[in-house]
Parts: sequence; structure tokens; C-alpha cells
Amino acid sequence: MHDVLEKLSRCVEHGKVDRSSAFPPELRGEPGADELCREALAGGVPPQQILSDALVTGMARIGERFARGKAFVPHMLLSARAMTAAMAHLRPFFASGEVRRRGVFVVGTVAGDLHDIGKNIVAMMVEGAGWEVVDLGVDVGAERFLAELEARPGAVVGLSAMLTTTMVNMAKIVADLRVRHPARQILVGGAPLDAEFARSVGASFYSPDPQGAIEHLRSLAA
Amino acid sequence: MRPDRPGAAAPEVLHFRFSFAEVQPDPADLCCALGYPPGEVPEVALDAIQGIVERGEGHWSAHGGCVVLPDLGVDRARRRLAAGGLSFEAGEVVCGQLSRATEVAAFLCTVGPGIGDLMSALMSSGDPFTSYVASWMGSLAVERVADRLQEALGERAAARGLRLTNRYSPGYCGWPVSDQQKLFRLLPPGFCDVRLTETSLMQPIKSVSGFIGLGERAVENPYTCDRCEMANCISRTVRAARTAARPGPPR
Repeated sequence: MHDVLEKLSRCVEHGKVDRSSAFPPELRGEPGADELCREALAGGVPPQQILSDALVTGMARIGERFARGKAFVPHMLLSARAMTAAMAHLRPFFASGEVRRRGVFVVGTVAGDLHDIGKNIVAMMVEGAGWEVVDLGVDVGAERFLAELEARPGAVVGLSAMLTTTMVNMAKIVADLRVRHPARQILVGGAPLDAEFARSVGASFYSPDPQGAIEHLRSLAA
Repeated sequence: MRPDRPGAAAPEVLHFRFSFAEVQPDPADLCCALGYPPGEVPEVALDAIQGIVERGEGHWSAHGGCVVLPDLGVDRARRRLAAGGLSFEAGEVVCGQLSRATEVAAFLCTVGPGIGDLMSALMSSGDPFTSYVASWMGSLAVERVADRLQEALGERAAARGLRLTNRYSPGYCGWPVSDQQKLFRLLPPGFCDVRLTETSLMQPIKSVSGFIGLGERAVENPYTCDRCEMANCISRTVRAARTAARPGPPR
């Protein structure tokens, strides 16, 4: 692997946005994700390789630490911030088709629920895993998911609920989606959920943490 | 705290405005909520907190109030509450906790739309971390508004020989969030400049509503986390972090 890619993946993992970022202290004064991504592109590293070998790798590392309880929500968000800084330089290559996404992930917090931190983390991790993410936001009903799926036939759906009182809305949304999309991959997550609930409402997959969702998506794209 | 009475002809309506200084979260609580143990808060988090504080009062419009209703009815068998001529499917936990109350205050508190707008702007600009910090700051600040309101309500109740219960909100402890529609019908129109969406969510986003019981035999419990399934609520998060930081005998 190019040295610059290893440095870039390390910046993503540790949340180093650019040279001016004081965090993490051990990288103070060093170039961050912003500068290193530009350096890699200027050095002729293919954008697809930057995405796969640096951004995806860095986000996977922080995701694995999170899943093992060795990193916490702020760490994930700092990593996502660094990833976003680097990703900004790759966006033109997504548009041109030079960099291919692994798929499309349509995600939202279910109707009646405005909790978005968990949904945001999953969305950023999935984007960092090489997927195009369509984030519908919070308080999203079945109609909006259905409209998005009409335009994106191969998309995977992600639903988040943080309250036991909004899990019933999740069940209704899954049921509504199943009428027109019986085989669609529907991933569900949120603090009060479990695998049994996911099965009972007809969801395809449940994971208690973002990394599980990433690994499931990876298996779908393989 | 500046009390005023928008419902001068209806003296049971209380309304208070607060400066940001009065409801600004305790930095230690904020750091706990963010997940950092005391003494291990990185500079990046402190900078983010300071940056939001320095944006000034313009982002905050803190106020809250309540309507005190003297006709609380609790049907524990059916897990329902009745107040103001309306019935609420409040669930087992809330009905149990309010069973000794004889009156109920329907309350609504907010810190205004500014902090939600700031969160959205930060998120859109690719800074989910500072948006997360702003979100927690807003959540803790609106709880401070509710604390202040509860203190003021408690003083008035004490003067009448009454005590308060804890406060309970639709969406928690098994109380459906859809009951928020009925709760808002107990409040004056446009109260605290908070509106409900069709799905019963409040706008501005950093707002809280609910019931507080009043009664001679009403009881405020030190905590009721063991009765609630909400794993990531503010009270639980801050309490757990404080307990981990300052171990002591169980209460």
C-alpha cells in the first residue's frame, strides 16, 4: 500500500481532518485527511484505491474498535468528519463513474421518532464502507421510503428507531414496504430492538452495532 | 428567571423565560453525556463546547410553562390517566408513579429553534461531531429549563401543602408519543411557540413536554431508570457516567 494511503487511513481512524486540527494530539502539525487525499490524487493514486485502501480501511478500523467497546460515539463522529473531508475530493469521481459505489443505502429514522445519532453514525459508516447513502432524515414514513425505492430499484433500506413506542411504527413501515418489495433487503437497528423483533416484523437483518450492518452489506455486495 | 402570565384570566397557567446563563448545562454533565470520563476530555471536545457557548444567546430562546389541572384521575387497572376532560394511555409505569397525585401539571419547555438550526448547519457542513455536541447541549439545556419550571411549580405546590412527582413524557416509560396531541390540547394555543408535527413530534426539536403530578401524598423518586427501557436517555447516561466517575455507596 502507498505510504500516503496508510497515513490517510490513520487520519480517518483517529479523526484528523487537516493540518490545523489539534486532534489527535500525537498528530498535531501533521497533514490530515484533507491534505493527504489531495496528495494521493496528485500522486496518481486511483480514486477507487484511495476509497478502498484508505477511507474504507480507516472507517473499518474505528468501527471494529467501536464494536469491541474500545471507541465511543464521539470517536466515530470525529472519524466521520475526517472521512468527509477526504471524500469531498473524491465526489467528482463518483459523479464521473470513475469510482464505483458498492450499492445504494436508503436510511431514515422511522415516523414519530426524531433520534438521529445512531442513524447518522450508521449512515456515515456505510458511506465510509463505499456505499452511496441517501439519508431521508428523521420522522420518515413508509411513503417516503417507497418513493425513494421506486427511483432506486437495487437499494438496501435501513430503518432506525430509538423508542419502544416507535417500534410499532417501524413494524408498520416494514409491512408497507413488504407489500411492494417482498424481497428487498431491509436492515433495522436502534437501542430497544433485538433480532427477535426484527424477525417478527419481517426485516431482513438486525445488528446491535454499525459494524454488523457493514459486514452484512459487504456480504450482499460480494 | 422572569415569570409572566399569558393567561391572566386563567391563573392556573404558568410561564417562565430564562436566560441562557440560567439553563446552560454543567460542563461536567455535558462531558459525561458525550461519553468522556472526568479528566479525560480531549481538547477537541472542549473547543467544540466553547465554540457553541461563544455563539451567544442568539441561539437560545429558553422558556417553559404549565397548566395545573385539578381533576387528575388515575385508572391503574386500565393504565389510563384522565385530566382536563381527556384520557391518556399513559401506561403502567406513569400511572403507578402518579397514583398518589390528585392534580396534574401539563408542562411544555423549549430552548427554541436556534440550537436545532445550528445542529443541522453543522451536519450539512460535514461536522457531525460538533453537531453531536450541540445536540447534547440542547438536550441538557431543555432539561435544565424543565428543572427550573419544576422548582417553581414545587414552591407553589409547597405553599398549598402539596408535593410533586417526577415528570413523565409521552414516548417514554411506555406512554405512546401520539398522546402528545392530547397533551397539547390542555395547553393554550401556541404555548411556548412549540408546535406538533402530524407524527406528534415537537418543533423546535429541543423541547420537552409531559405531566408532573401534585398531591399531599405525591412522591418524587430519586430515580426510576429501573422502570424504563430507554437505554440511551439523558438521565441514565449522565447518571451512569457520574456513578462510574465517583463510585460510592448505592442510594
